[in-house]
Amino acid sequence: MAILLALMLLTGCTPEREQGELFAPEYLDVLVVDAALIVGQPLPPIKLTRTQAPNEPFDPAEAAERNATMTVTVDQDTITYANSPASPWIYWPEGPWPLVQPETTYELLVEIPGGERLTARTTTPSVLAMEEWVLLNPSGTSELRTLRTFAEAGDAVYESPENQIDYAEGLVEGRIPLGGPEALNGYGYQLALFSLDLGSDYVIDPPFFEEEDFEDLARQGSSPPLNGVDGGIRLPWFAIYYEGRHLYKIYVLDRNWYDLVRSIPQTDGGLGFGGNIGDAFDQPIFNISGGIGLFGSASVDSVGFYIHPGE
Amino acid sequence: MKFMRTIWGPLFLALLAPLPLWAASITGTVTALGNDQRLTDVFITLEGEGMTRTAISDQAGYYEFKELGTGVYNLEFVATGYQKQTLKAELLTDEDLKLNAVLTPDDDSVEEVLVLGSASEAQSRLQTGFVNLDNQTLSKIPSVIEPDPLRALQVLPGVQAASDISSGLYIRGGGPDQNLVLMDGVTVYNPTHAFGFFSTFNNDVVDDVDLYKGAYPAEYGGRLGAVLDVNMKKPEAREFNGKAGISLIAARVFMEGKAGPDSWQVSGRRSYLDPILSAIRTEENPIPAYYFYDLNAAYATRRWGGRTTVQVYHGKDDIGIDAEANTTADLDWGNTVVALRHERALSDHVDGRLVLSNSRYRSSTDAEFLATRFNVDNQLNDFTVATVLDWYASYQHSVHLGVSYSWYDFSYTQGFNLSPSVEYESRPSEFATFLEDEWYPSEATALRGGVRYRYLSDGQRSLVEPRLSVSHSLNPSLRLKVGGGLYNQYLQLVATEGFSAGDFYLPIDESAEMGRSWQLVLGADWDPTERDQISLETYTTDLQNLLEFDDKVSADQNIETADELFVTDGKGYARGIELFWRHQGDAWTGWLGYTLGWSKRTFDELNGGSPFPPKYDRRHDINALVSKPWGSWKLAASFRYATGQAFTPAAARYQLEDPAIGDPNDASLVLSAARNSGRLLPYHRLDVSARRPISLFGKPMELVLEVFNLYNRRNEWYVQYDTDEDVTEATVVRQLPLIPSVGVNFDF
Repeated sequence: MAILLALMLLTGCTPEREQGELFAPEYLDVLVVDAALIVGQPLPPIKLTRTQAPNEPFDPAEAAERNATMTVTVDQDTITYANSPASPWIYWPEGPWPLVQPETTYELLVEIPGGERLTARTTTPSVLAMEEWVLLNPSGTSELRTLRTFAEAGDAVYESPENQIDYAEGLVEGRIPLGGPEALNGYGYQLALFSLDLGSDYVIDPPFFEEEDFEDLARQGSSPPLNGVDGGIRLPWFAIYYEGRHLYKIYVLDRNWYDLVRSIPQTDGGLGFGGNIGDAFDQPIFNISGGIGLFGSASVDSVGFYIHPGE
Repeated sequence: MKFMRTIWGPLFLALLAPLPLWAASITGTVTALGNDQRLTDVFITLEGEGMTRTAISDQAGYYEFKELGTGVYNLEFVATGYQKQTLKAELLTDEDLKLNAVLTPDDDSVEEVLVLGSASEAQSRLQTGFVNLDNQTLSKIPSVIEPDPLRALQVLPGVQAASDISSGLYIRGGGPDQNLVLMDGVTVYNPTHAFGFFSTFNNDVVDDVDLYKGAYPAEYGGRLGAVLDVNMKKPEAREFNGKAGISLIAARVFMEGKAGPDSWQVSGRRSYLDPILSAIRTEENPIPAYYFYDLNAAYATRRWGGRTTVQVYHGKDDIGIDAEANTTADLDWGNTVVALRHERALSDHVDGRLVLSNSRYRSSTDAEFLATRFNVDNQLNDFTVATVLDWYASYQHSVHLGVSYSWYDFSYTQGFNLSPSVEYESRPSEFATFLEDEWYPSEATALRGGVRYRYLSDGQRSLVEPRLSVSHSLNPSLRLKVGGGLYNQYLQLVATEGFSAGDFYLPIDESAEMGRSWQLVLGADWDPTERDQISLETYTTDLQNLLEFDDKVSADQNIETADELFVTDGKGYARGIELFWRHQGDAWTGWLGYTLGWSKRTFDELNGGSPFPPKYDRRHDINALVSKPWGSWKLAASFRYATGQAFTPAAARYQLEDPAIGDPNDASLVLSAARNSGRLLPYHRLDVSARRPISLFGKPMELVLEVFNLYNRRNEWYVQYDTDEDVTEATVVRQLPLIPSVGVNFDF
């Protein structure tokens, strides 16, 4: 009897819920556009899908909006986009792919038979040219050396002696133009880091890591938006897990890209909090009329270096 | 600041003016027969030698008549619930005659309650939304692991908790950021231990708690919603004594005694989890080292023509992690409060008190994760000098005037990767004065009108805040009450639920409008029997210029103004009806409360500009407490039922590349539904406790057995959506399970 009572106490009073009760499918079949224009690079293809039920697998082919008429207008030119049967959610520019120009406004128009219409616009930032990349000592108080750039050495930067860095040897800092992102007609910066040598060994081995923690480590990642208030942006070591060649990019963002990355729920490993954690689960800022997604632009500069295991 | 100088100077001098030393006097204390309890607000009439004078005993039961000539005097002591007592005194020389009175309880004297009741009783008769809980009642309420006065308040109607692990209070539709928490009238800025699980108030040294759920009087200011004034025990021991207690996580000790004519009191509490955590810590499982402690000390003297008290509180939490691999963390946070208080009778009809206080809150985080350093440090220093004059013009009429001046020193710094990302500093000041008139035009009617004026150096802003409370008795057992006022909030709390170590306050500079609320409360009190009180109150609060922490900013944004830190210009309301029945019988004591409430917020920048309920909007809230003796046991049970908390559910799934890495295989994202448009399941929980005296090693002790969440309902806390898999999974994260605890208290 006592055991039965104990079991009732331990298990009997916990309310269980069906998964479906925890979703509120309010925004199904909303148009989603996805395009990031990079200054100096060709106009990118543009993805066009629709939102799906939250508790069903996302299938881009099923989500694809296949019947759209899509154009991008820049100055007086209009570029028409079209999709292909092989990947109906991706629309490609018809004809030549012009390069994205700095400080230029691009307008997107999507029309669906039946009258549905999506519009967005982006104004590209100025060209970003980092002043220099340096390696600081571990306390960040003095420069150890200046890294060589792609402009100086091309892909040979990865073999350059200046760009050989031991793990946690110092702080890699990019010196950005003074005046903040506004000086480049931008709204913020964002970092991206790529480990280029697939299969290279780990440079970290924390005793508290379990095997699955290592499996979760990605070879590429991006930062939250930054302002670079003091004229420098430092690479955090917690973003580096592998030895070998690394490519480190800095973007200066237009308003749409900046608004999206500053407002999208932090999805650490794909986890998003809903509910009462600070009431933080809110819809991102999309700056798109008639749908959601990204139609944004950025300028980018980068540096390459080689990470060696530390002591 | 010319205005401040002209008011402050005379008041300050008036308080410090020496009284004549040549006259005789009669002083003493008033206590209750049977339990030696010091009686507050006893009305004392002195007659003789052709004169009649009156006095009221203070919080320590102390009274005094000064500047008396030689002769024979009759003193009459009148207090609610006690037989009237008359004592005779003969002053032969210019002596200071000590005359202590001991009053006998008498149930037949309730007809004089309107004016002569205890301070809290009179307050509850006049003030809407006022609840006073003494230590005895607080101790009866079942707790979880460690007795806690703030958690105990969560069983009152209209008072809610954010979660089982939070001691923060959500009162009548307002959040913890809208509550003013005071310790003997001095603001305490982050009164939590253990990331919010406990409050900083050691139950052993709490005398009672005054809670104004809304429409609070002009004496208080600075918050949009409620006031919680925790009154600590006063040093008044006649001989050395102490008590101690042990719970599952902490030990505490309390001592008091006399030093000549003066009294002192010291108490301390410290967690003792450190050795346990150390024993189970391994390299692979680097469990943090953690401890908290708090110290209270007070010293009281009557040497300088009144009562002078020095009070010190210091509390700290510290958590440290050393996980090797360039990964460490050290977090500490805590409060320090120092107050010097001088209270004296300036004449037969005027009492005064002067308070110099410093309340300091500091939290610091210094961490390194995989060779990347980050630190957050914030500090708030509040130096306040305040004085209050109470003029008892007549038996039915009193006037209260208060002046205070506060200097604040805020600093908030944040660094990442050894580079400062936020450096905020501000040193504003605030002048405040209030005038309050309390008038009893008849035995049936009581009015309290007041106005509070504030001047903020930040932006040179002036604020005028009117307050009003009216009570009218239709018959001896039925009263109608109305209260209301205007409130502004200058200091804004930025709180992180579940991690109170990161809480910080910032002043609202002129870049943003301060939060403002209009409150109106209508109520009726009915005493169907001498042992039962039933109250019904309706409240409505109109909120303007609300602020919400803006988390959509750059990680290294240099915050310099309030409008950069907050989403501003919010509007909202909180409305509700509250029913409360309290029974204080011989067989059992307790209460039953029910609240029906609505609360909404609207911000242009949130939820697409549409109104949304705050997460603590609860339609129904039921609270019950029963305490009953059973043989040598004292049993208690508390029950709580509440509508499920609002949450934001996932509405749809979509896919975007991470534009910075151009990853075409990125996991899909979840689009949220309208803010707080979902509801968790209803919350309910039953806690029980049992206490009985025992003898251990020949020493009398009290054994305390408590069970939190007796029927082990795993209430829902929040919903987490995992988009790692092909199908978004929703996981309900649950609150605390059944937790039994045992403790021992003993006197020495």
